[in-house]
Amino acid sequence: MRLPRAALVVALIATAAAAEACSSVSSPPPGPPAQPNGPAPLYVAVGASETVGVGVADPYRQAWPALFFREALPPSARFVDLGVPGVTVSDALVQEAPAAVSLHPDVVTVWLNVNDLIAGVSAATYGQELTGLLQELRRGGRTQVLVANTPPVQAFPAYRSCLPFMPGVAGCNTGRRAPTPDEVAAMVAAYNAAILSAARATGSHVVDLYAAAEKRVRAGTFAALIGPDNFHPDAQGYRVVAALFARAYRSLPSSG
Amino acid sequence: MNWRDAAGLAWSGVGRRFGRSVLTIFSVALAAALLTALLAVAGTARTRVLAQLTRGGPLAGIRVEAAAPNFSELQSDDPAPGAPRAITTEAVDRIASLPEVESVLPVVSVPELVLPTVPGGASGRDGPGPRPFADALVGVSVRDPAVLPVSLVAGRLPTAGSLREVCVTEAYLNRLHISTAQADRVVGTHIALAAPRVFPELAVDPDRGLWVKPEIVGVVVQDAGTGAILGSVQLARQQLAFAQAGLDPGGDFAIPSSPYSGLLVVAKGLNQIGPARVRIADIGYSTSAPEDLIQSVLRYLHVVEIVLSGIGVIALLIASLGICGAMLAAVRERRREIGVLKAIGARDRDVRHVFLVEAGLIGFIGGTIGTLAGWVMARILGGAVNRYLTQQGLAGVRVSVPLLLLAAGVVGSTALALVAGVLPAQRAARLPAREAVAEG
Repeated sequence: MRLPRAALVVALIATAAAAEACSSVSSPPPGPPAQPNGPAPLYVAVGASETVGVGVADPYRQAWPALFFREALPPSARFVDLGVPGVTVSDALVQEAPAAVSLHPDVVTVWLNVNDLIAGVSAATYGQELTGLLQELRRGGRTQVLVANTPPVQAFPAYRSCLPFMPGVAGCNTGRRAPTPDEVAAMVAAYNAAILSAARATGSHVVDLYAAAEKRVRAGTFAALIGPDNFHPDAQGYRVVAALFARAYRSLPSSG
Repeated sequence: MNWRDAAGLAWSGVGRRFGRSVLTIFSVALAAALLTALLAVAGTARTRVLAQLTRGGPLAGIRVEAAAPNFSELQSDDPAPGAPRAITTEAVDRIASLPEVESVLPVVSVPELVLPTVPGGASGRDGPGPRPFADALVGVSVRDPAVLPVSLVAGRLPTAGSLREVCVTEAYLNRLHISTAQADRVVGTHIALAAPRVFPELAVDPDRGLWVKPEIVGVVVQDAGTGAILGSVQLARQQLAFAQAGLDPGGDFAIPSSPYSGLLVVAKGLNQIGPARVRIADIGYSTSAPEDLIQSVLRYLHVVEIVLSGIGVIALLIASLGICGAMLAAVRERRREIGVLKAIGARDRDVRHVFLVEAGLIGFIGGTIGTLAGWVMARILGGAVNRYLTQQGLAGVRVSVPLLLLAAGVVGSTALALVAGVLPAQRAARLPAREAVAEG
């Protein structure tokens, strides 16, 4: 599905890098965490293609929200996956947030950043929209929200294969200069700062995908977690993501 | 002579002709064992046949559909339901208050996407698992399993009100190519179920599901509703509420509009089924009940019981003739003893008592041994049948021998022996003393 994505990654990150240069975000204090209620907690996953398990053969079982639901939540828990492939935060505000809020969830996970980055949304705009989304999902503190930060996009095989002197892949001919890894890293850092601010402002909890992925990048094992489309995680990658969300969920004050 | 003296003389009489007495007791025991075993097996078969007819539910069970009655509603055990009609809470209350109705159990059915788990196979963590399939969750109240049309094949029923336990049917096993004989394998595994709902605000794939991940605690044969999964009514209500809150514009998911997909009504006896069905049809719902079939089967079973009892009784009568013959021989052999008894003052009735007690003693001992042996035989036979049924993946049977049957075996054998002993005792009592001593 995602080979043309490699070209998009390169083309649109270049635009976003320019926009990022003139943006900044503030860091409000964190809000109080909510208590998961009742014996049958409802979990809702908000996100994009990763949230519906694009890249694996058995998304019902291998997508990270399904793994998180199965292995981290109590036996009586319920789960609704509202992920829509390709959405940005502004799309999710229109499509997924109203549906999620109408379900009165106890726990919501959010992984929405790579499509915004690719679409060239500035970190400031992204931060504002994410704050609005998290605010809505928090329902005045009645819902626990776990929000993932941005993985190191500069290490994605889909991006790296488009750099000069790197082996190319089909569909990587954008006709534009690919932003350098340092430029992409700066974009990712700005996004992650915006995510941290949005989380603090709304009392949400950040799941640090960046740190976990960066550790694997340094160890040279990151590419093994990416699927054949060079962009989405494979089954093992989704397991790592699910484990990170599970660890964050278990560290919540009343997650049991 | 008092009864104790008579019993002492009778006992010594039995002891003195030990070989003959043992043979006579053996014939009585054999007949009593045959009668007990036949009646126990007939009773068990009756329970099994009726359980099969009612799928483990009550004999006086009535199924109420979420549909209006049709014009020939009460002419048949299983009529075709009329137009769909929602079963409201008010209708449930009205049916429950009918004088012919003992209890009412609601059934909630909801379409689900089922994500099965192969026991010991890939669960999705290490590789793709088995394909999901569309089926239905049937929710019933499991507080009183006796009134449910459900037979357990393996494991147990879900705990009442549980949101985390379900049973599956053979249809689920078939999906995984697991035979009924290996039903135990799926017990303890987890499945995932998703009730469908359309979210029109989602731009891509607006059909989503409310997933739950219950544990399979048993395998059942169930007739409460159409579906491969059986769970608590609370679990089904939770799933149905999610599905009904969304849209189903094309009717693709066949989400029921009725809060209940049916009712299981128990009438106050077989003869109350007909009147109850008439009243429920008046309230506006279609019903079905295998009352005619059950009545016919009960008649046939009664005939079988009469035939089997007849065989046992004939055996007991033959044994009684044996007692009579043995006692007549004893009278002939003991003429001198009878003469001496009379010479020292025993009256006719004293002599009669001695022989009657002796006959009764033989009947009691033979009846006790025979009834116990019959009980053991029935248990052994039940065990063999159980092993066969389990190998075939069917629910087992429980051979039960009521205490009344055991008591009747002993008392009946003793009574028949007493009747058989009347003629010899009478003959002994009428022997003139002088003649008896002279001939002896």
